[in-house]
Amino acid sequence: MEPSSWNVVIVDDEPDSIGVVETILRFKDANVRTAPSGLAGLTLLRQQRPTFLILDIQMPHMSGWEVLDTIRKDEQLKDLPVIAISAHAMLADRSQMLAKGFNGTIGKPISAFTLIDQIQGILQTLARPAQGVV
Amino acid sequence: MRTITAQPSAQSPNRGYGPVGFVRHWFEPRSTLRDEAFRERTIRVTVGFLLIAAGLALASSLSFYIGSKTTIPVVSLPTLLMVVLGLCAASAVMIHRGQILTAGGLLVVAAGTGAIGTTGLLGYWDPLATSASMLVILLVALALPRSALIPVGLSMVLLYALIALGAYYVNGIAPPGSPNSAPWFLIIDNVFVFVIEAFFLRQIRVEFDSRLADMRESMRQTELARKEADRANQAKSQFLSNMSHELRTPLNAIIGYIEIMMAGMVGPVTEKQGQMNQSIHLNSKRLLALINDVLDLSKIEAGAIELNPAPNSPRTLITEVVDGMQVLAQKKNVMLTIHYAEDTPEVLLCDGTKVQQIATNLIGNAVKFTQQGNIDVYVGQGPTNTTWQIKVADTGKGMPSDAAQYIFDAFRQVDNADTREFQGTGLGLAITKRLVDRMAGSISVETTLGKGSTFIVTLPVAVPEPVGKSTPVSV
Repeated sequence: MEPSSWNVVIVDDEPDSIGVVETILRFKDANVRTAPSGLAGLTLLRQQRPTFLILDIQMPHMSGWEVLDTIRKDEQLKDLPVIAISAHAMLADRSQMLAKGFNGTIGKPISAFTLIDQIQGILQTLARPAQGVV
Repeated sequence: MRTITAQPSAQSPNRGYGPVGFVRHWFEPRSTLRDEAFRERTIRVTVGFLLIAAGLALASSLSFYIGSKTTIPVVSLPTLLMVVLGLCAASAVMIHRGQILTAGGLLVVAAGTGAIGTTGLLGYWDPLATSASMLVILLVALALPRSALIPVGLSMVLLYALIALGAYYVNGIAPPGSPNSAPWFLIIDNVFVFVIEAFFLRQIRVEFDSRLADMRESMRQTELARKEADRANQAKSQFLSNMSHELRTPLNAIIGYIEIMMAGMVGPVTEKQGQMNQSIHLNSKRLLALINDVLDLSKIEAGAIELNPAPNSPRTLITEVVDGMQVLAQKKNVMLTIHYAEDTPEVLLCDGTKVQQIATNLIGNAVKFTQQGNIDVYVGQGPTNTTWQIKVADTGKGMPSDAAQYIFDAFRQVDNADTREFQGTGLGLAITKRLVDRMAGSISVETTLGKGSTFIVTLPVAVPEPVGKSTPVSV
């Protein structure tokens, strides 16, 4: 799946974090919408369902965990691919994220050289879910 | 009143066989608390001996009656001994149920009944009864709460006085040794002995109890301090986690935007700008590595490192690390080779990420400090078949022979001067050492200045349990 066909929503409270991801994705001609908070992000998701969501974990008012919870309980959105993006680099944190229902994780700092590959890798594992994730 | 409960048979000491084993087992206290075990043992031993003594006495008194073919009167030695035996048996049952204080109380009543009953039956002050009553006071001191000592001691004195005086004035029986006089002298004598005995024992109990209280208090303090330290450690871990997040967030923006410029995603940059971008990028990465190292070390020191053992193949783990290092080695024209011994374990239980971190640090160091020549990584069985080893040998600068004493300390490099040739935090080996320690392994170094160094890591082998299909998982 080419990035140009992606319809992405990014939710992050750090404008610069959004800026980096947004710039890279737009350079690859993806369609990007952004939100600075969990609530605003949910509104965007309900307006139009994206291909996938890139979600920061640590945010004021409504954390990434709560956003994920809301999504997984929503009839329209529950199977939306959600990629966590977090500065928590510890491996234990990452496996915890996968266990709690994220479809993939990308650690900060985000690399312009590898971000697209990372996302494509995650989307590929979703394309064949029957294999099971170890 | 405080009740003391021993855990009945919860963790009985090794039980012997046969009658001797049973008796020895009976005398062993079940309680694990020191003071309670002491009290329990006292009561167990006393019950045991009183049962035997009263049993023998009953047998001999019965044989007297059986021989004489007269019926046993209600008020007689056999009935008294049966009462004593009954009380001892009840005490034994209470011990078995774990009610040590009740057992002690019953025992005191049994001994007291025996001593006073004998005196009453004989009608005079028997010396045997005197020593039996001293046993009662001793037993109270050892087996009952401290507050019981004075009341029980005084009632013993009072009962004796009443019986002796009653025997003398009502029945006209004088105590032995004083046929012509009232028993006053003996009464005062015995009262004196009882009071002194009770006083001494009380002193000993007061001292014992206060030491016990001190001990309990210091144990409580230790427990409090431990809990406090746990809380502090948790706070430290939380702080580290927050710091990690806060430090990475601005670096994320810096590295992200620089890479965007370097990748040409926002238009062309001039050659000079490109060089500066490279420089910013390199320095940001160095800062990131530094932050990671400091956080890693702090996490290890805070005890916040958790091992996640999983079935791993040592070959896969180390090959991945060496493959990742090849680019760096080739840049420096250093030959990096990996050798697997035949006895290398195929699969073992370990935290793959931590093993790779250890290997990365050691091989990375070797590449860093080797200007020419080769680096050989050996993997195989350790000195025993319950260990495995990673050896990293280089032909680099080597170190002075005393360096092994301090290179595993944090923030130390062999050359610590401002002009030092090699960049780095000096944390790599400190982290490696602590990770190895955490995994219950060991690390050592053999080095010759100018010739090179060999680092040897020995880790325990934990073989994964074969569960159904034992396919080694390596990610």
